[in-house]
Amino acid sequence: MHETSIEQQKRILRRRRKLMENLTGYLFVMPNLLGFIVFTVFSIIFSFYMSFTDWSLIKLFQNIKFVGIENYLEMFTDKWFQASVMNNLWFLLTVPVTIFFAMVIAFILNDKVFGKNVFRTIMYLPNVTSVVAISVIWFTLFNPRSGPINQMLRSLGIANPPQWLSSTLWAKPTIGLLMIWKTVGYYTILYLAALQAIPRQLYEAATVDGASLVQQFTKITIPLLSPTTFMLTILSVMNVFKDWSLIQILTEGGPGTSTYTLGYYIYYAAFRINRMGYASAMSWALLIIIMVFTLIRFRVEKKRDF
Amino acid sequence: MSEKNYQARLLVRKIGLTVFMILVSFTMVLPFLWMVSSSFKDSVSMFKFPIEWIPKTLNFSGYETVWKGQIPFSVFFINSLKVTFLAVVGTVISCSMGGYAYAKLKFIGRDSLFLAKLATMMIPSQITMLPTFMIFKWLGLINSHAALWIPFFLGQPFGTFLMRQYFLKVPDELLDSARIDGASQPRIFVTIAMPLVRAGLSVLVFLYFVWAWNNYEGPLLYIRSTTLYTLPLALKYFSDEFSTNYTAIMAASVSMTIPILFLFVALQRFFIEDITSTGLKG
Repeated sequence: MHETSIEQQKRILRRRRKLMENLTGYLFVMPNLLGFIVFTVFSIIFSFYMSFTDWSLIKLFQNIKFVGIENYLEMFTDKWFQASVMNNLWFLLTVPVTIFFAMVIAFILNDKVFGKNVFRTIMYLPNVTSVVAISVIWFTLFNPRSGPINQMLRSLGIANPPQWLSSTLWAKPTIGLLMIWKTVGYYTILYLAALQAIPRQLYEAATVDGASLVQQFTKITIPLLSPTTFMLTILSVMNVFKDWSLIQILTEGGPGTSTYTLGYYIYYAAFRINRMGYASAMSWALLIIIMVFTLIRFRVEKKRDF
Repeated sequence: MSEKNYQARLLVRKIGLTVFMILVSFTMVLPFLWMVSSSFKDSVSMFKFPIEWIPKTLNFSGYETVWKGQIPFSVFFINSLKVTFLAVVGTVISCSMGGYAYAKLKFIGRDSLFLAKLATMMIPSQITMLPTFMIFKWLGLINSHAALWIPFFLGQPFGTFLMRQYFLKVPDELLDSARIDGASQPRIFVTIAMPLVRAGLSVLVFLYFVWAWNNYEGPLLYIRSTTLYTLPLALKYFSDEFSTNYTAIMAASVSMTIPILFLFVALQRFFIEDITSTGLKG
């Protein structure tokens, strides 16, 4: 009798402690949980719902109509949407270029130069600078008439240098160049961190065996960096599709449709022409496209491994 | 080939590669130097070719336009400071609390919650951007700074993940012994756990300071009145407003970027290793 009551008391105490533990746990994650429920879970559901309506900012709540899959069908006939996706595919070209340069620069910075830390800091600079400042500076540098870049080209004897951001032919390459310039330093730093994990003896042995720098790069560095490369390709493909501020600041999608991208077009549809419903549908299309590319990347990686 | 010869060749290579890196660095730095130099020139000498890197006469008219204009730049500066400060405070509180809970506390559903949070990091921001805008609209917070800093008090996935990594490294024995001595969890968190993750906190503060300071998309969507603009939006506004007054535009760019560049260069050696070892932001 006496013993069981002790047992009971123990059990009650244990249960109370468990309850307290759970309460403290939830107290600590409360802000996170609230944010997660409101800004993620609710937002995802709400966005999905909106994508089947003709939601707009100026419409009254009761006037919003359910339109079925109309928004999704519209994408197949919308020339702006298609131009945006095609431009995004074009901008994907910047991904291998950025990754290649970042890898080479990280390879060089890794114990092969004087003043590594200074270079590392410099490479990181565009990352702490506002995208607006970067855009404003390059916009002036690329000014077709009086910008320093075209003045230099003219002084080199090129009578009609490109019109850069105001030409349908050159706007895309110019934006692409800025994308590379903006991200290459960050990737370099991530690669540099990954390189620290490669044992130095590997390179020393290769050097003793008479391997050139190029051979060391292709035979040691590229294969051993592949986990970082894998992660960075997924990340940068995603960014190419969804980033929009650079384009909003520099070209607003122009001239014509030459620099429209999916990320920018979604912003434009939602906030410039007040088509929240259509923009929501497009953002789901964006998710599907990104997922397809990620899956392809996983497939490629698997094939190489086995 | 003698050893001496070999060493000499390595040295030559090192010098060659350093020169190459100096050239690469120039493409990163020259735009910034051009910005600073141009902010002190008039529109004519700014576009002179070859470029006068050091202006012959210093021209402060750009800075006067920017800092003493109709809406002085100090207004935007204070707005940015306020929003950034609140965002960083919110991040530190919510992310360290969340990170601590996910790393060190036991409660039902902890791991599935954390996984769900991680999984949703892959969802493009566009999907949540529009509903979030609607939420703030219903709350009547459009055209207010609150829309910019409130989300930071409700936990940023990346920051929470980052802090969890740092809290995982804190030995359990330390926390357990404090609990046996009768300290409550909040007390253990503040007095024992937090001081042990100072390195993580400095990375968190740095990354979110830069992020909030440079945030352009948030204010673009939420802020309407010019007097509430933060610096990035103000700079865009200036470049539209004074589209031909390049001196003023450059002066505005300098005014906004130089403080953060200095801060970065001065402090980077404390945490650049940490930033790289923790991986990716955004």
